[in-house]
Amino acid sequence: MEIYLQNFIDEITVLLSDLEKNIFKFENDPKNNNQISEILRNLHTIKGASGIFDFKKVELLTHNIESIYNSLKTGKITYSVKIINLTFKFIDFINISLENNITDNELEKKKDDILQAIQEFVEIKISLKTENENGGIEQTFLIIFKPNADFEQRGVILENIIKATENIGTSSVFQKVNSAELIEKENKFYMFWNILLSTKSTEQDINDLFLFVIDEVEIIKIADKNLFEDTGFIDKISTEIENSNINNSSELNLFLNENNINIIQKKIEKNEKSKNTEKINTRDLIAHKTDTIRVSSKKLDELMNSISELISTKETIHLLAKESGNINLKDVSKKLERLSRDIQNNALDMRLIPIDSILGQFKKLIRELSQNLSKEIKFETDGTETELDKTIADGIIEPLLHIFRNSIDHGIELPEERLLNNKPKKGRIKFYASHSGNNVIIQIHDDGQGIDDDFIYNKAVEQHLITPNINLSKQEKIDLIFLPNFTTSSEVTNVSGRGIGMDIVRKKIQELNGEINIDSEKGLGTYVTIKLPLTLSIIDTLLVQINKKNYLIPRYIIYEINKLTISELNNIKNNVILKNKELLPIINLNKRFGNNKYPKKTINIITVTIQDKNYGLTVDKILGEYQAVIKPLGELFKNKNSFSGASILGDGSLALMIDTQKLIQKHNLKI
Amino acid sequence: MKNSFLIFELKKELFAIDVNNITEVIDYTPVTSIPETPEYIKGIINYRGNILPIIDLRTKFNLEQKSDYNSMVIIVMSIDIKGKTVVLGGIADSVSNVFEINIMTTTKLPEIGTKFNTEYILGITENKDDKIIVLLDIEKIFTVDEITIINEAGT
Repeated sequence: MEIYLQNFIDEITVLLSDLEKNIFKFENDPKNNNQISEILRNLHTIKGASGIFDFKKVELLTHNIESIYNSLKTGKITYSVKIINLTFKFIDFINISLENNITDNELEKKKDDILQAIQEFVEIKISLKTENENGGIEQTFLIIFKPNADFEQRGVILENIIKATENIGTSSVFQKVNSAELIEKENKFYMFWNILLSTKSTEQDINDLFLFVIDEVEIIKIADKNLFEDTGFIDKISTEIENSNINNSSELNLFLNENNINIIQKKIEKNEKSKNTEKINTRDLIAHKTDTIRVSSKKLDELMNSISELISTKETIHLLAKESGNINLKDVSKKLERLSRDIQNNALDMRLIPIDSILGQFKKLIRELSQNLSKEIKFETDGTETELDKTIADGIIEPLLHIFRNSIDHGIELPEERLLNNKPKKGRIKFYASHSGNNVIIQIHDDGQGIDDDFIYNKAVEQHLITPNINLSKQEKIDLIFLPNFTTSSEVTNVSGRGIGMDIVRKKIQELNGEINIDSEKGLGTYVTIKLPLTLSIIDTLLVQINKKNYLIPRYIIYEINKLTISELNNIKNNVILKNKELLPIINLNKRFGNNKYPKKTINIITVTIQDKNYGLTVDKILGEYQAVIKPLGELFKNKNSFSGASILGDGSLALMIDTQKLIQKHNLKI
Repeated sequence: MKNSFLIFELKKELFAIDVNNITEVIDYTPVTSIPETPEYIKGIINYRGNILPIIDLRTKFNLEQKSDYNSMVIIVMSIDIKGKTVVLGGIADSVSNVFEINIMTTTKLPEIGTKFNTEYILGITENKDDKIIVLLDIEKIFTVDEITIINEAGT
């Protein structure tokens, strides 16, 4: 049942958000009757679903709100903004009642408040009875309800349906055992119900009661009067039903004819009108289901795992095809390559969410913080539709919060100070996101006081974090804020200077395989640029070999590849070569990973760009491009080496993924 | 309260690990070494599509390394390190049998006067041939980088 309740909640959530949208539209265009019809459809579906799932309060309220919109449509009442307010109150109520953390009493009170508001607002008295009475004429129906075996699992509560029929008139319910044939062949529930019902409600109302089981029910009108007044007839038909002689409409016909009962009898052909509304209702539901499907992120993770396996298998086939030299096999392998890329892209797409969805908390933070600190800040955003992987989006929230906190606390000056410096009184923080190749770039710019690089440098020296070095460039001085334990605040404020520092921010971003750069102009402001990968698990890489072992280098950081003779390599001084008129630091991987063994004649220098700087990595051989599924090395290796994981190659052997950030950090420590 | 222990051999000495920590024992397969890691970490292998870190137990216990690994075995273990379950493989010379023993009844070693480092040892027992079996506290062993189980200088 739990799971069906969850389905219901998911369904209602979608319906409510649709309702909300329609109400906003309606507010802008109150004369549009189509919009009212849309709202009525939303309400009707909500009512039906709540009835089936026994959300009585929601059902009752929805019904009343529905009446308001019905009256609006028929012109009984005129539009007023109060209706919109009331509807939003109603939506809030449903949202609250779906949460578990509210007591029944509170809920009851809220419901009564809204009901009262409805009563006060609508002059005409609304109630289920007066609305639905069919000109006061009572009719008698036979309802044959033969549910499918799975009806309980679908969340249909039989009791509620039967009670609902009892509520609208006089009824007698017969519980019968189904024929074995029906149970087996048509997958029916082992029981079925015959309900004799006399009511003033219309056929449509009865149809509505059975809305969610409409295909499992037959509603047959027997007479245009209350047959319960004719005790003789009721006794007779009851006996027949008890004896299982009336199980369908033809048997009912037979019974009525045999007994020569002269009454009007017709099977309700769901009349045109009701058919139409019904169609719309089902279409409504279907539309919701195709528009968006809610999938748990766990399922998506499982899908990604399977795709990772698929890609590994694809690489195996690719290798086998290459080795076999069979052209047909090569063709198939190419096709497989394309297909698996499509699948991978689609699956990645599913995991993408717009960055807009995490911006809400930043807006809130900026509003609250700037008020607390008496600062005036305008928050601007751009490119918020940029999509990124959900895991990455979740992981970036904490570092971003910290960056925003810094901008508000340290960056933007107080209004008076800004005016003194000929700046607009209101500070500005701009957030923009964009795609660039296989990366998402996030930039945060504030027009505050900027970072004083000399101040940072002095603080770092003061805190004994670095040894004094006058040769540091401005950028290098700014980058000192990434040092562990670095702090600029002499006193700890509530906002920053406590908790995580910029070193943790950088670490968190690196954990997401991202990079962070800070650029600042004293007095003018600060730019923070964060570069993130589109996905975490599958990376396009270059497969290389060092001392007969395989390594992977992320392709997006590779700038160019050159060759160098071994004698040239041996003549390198200070670990740098001159390349394109610039000094290129060389990281000798043969030395670090390959036991100082070198190929005979030439060596490859792969130029990579890390944190806006170029480095040259030495490798023996370049084996080609490789789409790598990266698996973690595990706890044992954490932070112990320059690798971020390993990938299983097509032949089952392993290749280590070089974590270039760690590689560079270690390199810089050494020199 | 009896526990089952698996006996394995390292340089003619017998050790035993609680079988609750052992997933399986597999034949030695070539290991991909990882640069810039402690010596006792032999590397990683492809273990059914996942990465399995491999520890050279001889090196870990400061025993002389074997030149030929091919006849050796890998004991796949699952242990708790600081609250996290870590799966790893330990290279041993060979494994023999499983036996049951109540740890409370095993001999406790005196702190000094033995060649064994008592910190990582649950107790000591003997097999039928009066050979000493050292019951290891495997989880403790992997919480530190370098340990010495047997004080070879003393023998």
